[in-house]
Amino acid sequence: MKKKLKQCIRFFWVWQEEKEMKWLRQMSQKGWHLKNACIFLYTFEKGEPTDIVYYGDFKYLKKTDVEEYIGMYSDAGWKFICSQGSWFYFSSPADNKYKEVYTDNQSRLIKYRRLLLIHVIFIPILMNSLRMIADRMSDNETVLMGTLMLIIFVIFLVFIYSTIRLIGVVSKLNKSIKE
Amino acid sequence: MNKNDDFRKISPLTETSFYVLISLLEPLHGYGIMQKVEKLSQGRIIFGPGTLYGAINNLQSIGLISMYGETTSNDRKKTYLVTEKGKVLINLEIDRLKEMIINAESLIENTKHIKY
Repeated sequence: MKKKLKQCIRFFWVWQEEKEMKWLRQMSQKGWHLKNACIFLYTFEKGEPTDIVYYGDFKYLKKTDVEEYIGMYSDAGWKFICSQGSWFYFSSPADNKYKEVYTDNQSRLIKYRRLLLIHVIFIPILMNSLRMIADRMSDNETVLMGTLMLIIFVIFLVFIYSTIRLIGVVSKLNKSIKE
Repeated sequence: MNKNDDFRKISPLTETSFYVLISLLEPLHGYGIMQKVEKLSQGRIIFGPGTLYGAINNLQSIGLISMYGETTSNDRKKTYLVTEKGKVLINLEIDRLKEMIINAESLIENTKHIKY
């Protein structure tokens, strides 16, 4: 028998991990268990209501290291759910002794530093695409080009905002380590 | 060349790194480290898998620990051991921590007359 699936679109900023995890936990308590997460699209599978906690980790890994990484989580009682690029989602029973994935700020900092780096890389790429579209548009102005330009511009603004917030998160974590 | 200069950048180690390092005075894999540190600290320190993975990676990249023995491709559990450099750092950290304890204890002793 095919299991009932449900898809939800939800937007969380990358620093809102607690909010995202709380939501996923509440979904499980209602019997909807995370099956896949892809940027804003979350897929759930209907099952028994269970108290399950989740964690979405961001980790840049070599292909050869993935197995060891997932193995370490599974040793600690965390089940691998899905991965999307450098995002890895895991679930664990809420009564797991190791239910905190990051137990110190130094390791949490590595995650956020990496996210910040990705943002910093993306901004010039987005700027470049904006310029390219602007060049094309001066030749022939179409609705399609205008729409594309607007979309990329919005993404660009989102990235700028996200970068500024991430700098705040990283420097706060940095301070907490040095104290 | 002053070898200690190199260590000064790494020291002081965080509690997490220090415990991972000393637990690897014998070869262990990730889960083994978790259990050992928990036992050593009488349950005070519990490593999350993300923290442990990060700490192992970090210690390996600065050459304080390295992979131990032969790891076959179907062996997903890698075993680690402290390197020579790691051992030197442990001893430096012991001296540093001892100094802190001696100073703290003697100051407590010498200032007994002061009411706080």
